[in-house]
Amino acid sequence: MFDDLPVWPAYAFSALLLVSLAAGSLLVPRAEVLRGAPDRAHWRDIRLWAVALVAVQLGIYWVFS
Amino acid sequence: MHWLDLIIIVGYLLIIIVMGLRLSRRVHDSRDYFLAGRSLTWWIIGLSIIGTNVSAEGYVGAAGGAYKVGIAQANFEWIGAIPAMIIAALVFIPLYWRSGVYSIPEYLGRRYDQNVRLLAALIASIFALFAIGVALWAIALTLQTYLDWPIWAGIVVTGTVVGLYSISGGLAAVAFTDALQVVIMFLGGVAIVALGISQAGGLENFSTALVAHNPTHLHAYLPADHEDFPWPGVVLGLAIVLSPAYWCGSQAILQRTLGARSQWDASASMMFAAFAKTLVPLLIVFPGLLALVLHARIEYPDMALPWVVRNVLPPGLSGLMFIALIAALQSSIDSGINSTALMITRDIRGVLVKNRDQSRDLVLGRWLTLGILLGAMTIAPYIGEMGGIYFFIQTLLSLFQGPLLALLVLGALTRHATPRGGLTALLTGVPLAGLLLFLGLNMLYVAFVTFCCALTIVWLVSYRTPPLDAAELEQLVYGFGMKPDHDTGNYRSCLTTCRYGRPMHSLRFFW
Repeated sequence: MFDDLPVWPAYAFSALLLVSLAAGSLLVPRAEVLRGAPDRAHWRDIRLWAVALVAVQLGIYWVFS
Repeated sequence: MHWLDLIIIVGYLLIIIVMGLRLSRRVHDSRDYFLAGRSLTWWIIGLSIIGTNVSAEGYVGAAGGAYKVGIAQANFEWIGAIPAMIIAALVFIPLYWRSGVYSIPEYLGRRYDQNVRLLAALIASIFALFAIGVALWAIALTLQTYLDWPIWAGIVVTGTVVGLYSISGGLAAVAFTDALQVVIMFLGGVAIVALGISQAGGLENFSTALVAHNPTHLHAYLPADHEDFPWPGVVLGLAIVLSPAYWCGSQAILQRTLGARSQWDASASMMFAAFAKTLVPLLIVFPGLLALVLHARIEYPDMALPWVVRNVLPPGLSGLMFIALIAALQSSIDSGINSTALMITRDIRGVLVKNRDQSRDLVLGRWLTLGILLGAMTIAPYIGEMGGIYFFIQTLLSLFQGPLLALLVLGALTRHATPRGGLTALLTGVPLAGLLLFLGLNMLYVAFVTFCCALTIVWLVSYRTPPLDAAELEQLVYGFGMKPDHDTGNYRSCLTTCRYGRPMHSLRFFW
């Protein structure tokens, strides 16, 4: 069904998925992700962890494209 | 075996047994046993998640896969894991944690129907029993290869060691020993990478030598007509269905997040695990590539990792790597028996036995943990001959992945899904998956098609069938969860009010 497709859409899809996830993560209210945290330090904001993860993944797929 | 290796192995076994037995003092009831008394901190859970995730087939099979197809094997750790882990951390885990459930089948039972709970728990438990048997068999095989132990001796020793800390200490012992095991795995992996690259003459020589005869081995995606890893299958089946079904719905993985001391710890643990997961290919994929570069003379790809351990690592470090292999397998076994005991105690018994005495859950849970371990030890020596049965059960489990994910997604993110809609989707989606597999469609595509069909069925049937009460949905649907009352410490409804700066409705992005 998909046998004749080139490979580049795979990388494009991955990039789109990852960037959408990063953007989506930032839509979650900060108070929601910090619920139950011992303090409000910036490093505890796991939305930023998600953005960092996405950046690393984008780098990996760029290197191995 | 070198004496230094032997000392390291014996020392490791003593440490995990003592650690497990000490943690057993904290266990007073079933909540302590199955959820560690909701006391676990984020980094312990994160490491434990990775320990549970990197299994027998993960460690040895991934190195073999990398030897065969190259870095594309790492898609299981990257696009086939990270997006789903982020979604799990931000959406599903907070929901599960707040709703106070012990298991994912329990969540499905509360959101849909007790039959869905029973079915999900039964399938997961049967599969787990065989998966534990496979892991025990793999350890015994490893011990036979390295130490010339008979298979039965490897199974008995491993079962005894794992049993000592798992039966007595419950989830807390499992999580802490898993964390230690993962640290050892990473130490062994880093040693292989450093020494391997050094033997290959540096990173540049390594990559040049690798692609000289294997031009696609450093490409993350393989052509669409590739026999094993066609990229549309990886993207549609793995990234969109199988991976979220696993990371957002696997009891063995998520149980430790339900034992977190706070919602933040639960979510942060999965994010931390995602960072560690990004590095997992160094442990399980790189050895396969290294074997290729160093021109290993091996008969089968799965022999790549043992070859690297024997030929690249010096004494002491080879003992450490041997422990890393055993640790990877042990952490899968202990998590499997603990989560299966939980599902049988609470989900299967809870549905089948009305008015059960919950005070007996701890005793029953411990006996079940022992029973499951003994059952897996009994079937482990015959796993080699039962490959067909194991494959059948694995296939059976895979039939449920698409429909179950559809139930989780619509159940957790919308109020529209009804109990009847969920049950209908499950009862029609599973036979459809079986039919598509029977017709010869690749498993990755089957997962995607059945997921889409189940989504549609839940949505359509839910128009005609009654939903749950709004009060019940509050705890079970994301965005309508309960908020902590800072005065009382209890949770209260946030359906109509929101004290935070941004309204909860901004979360509609996820619906």
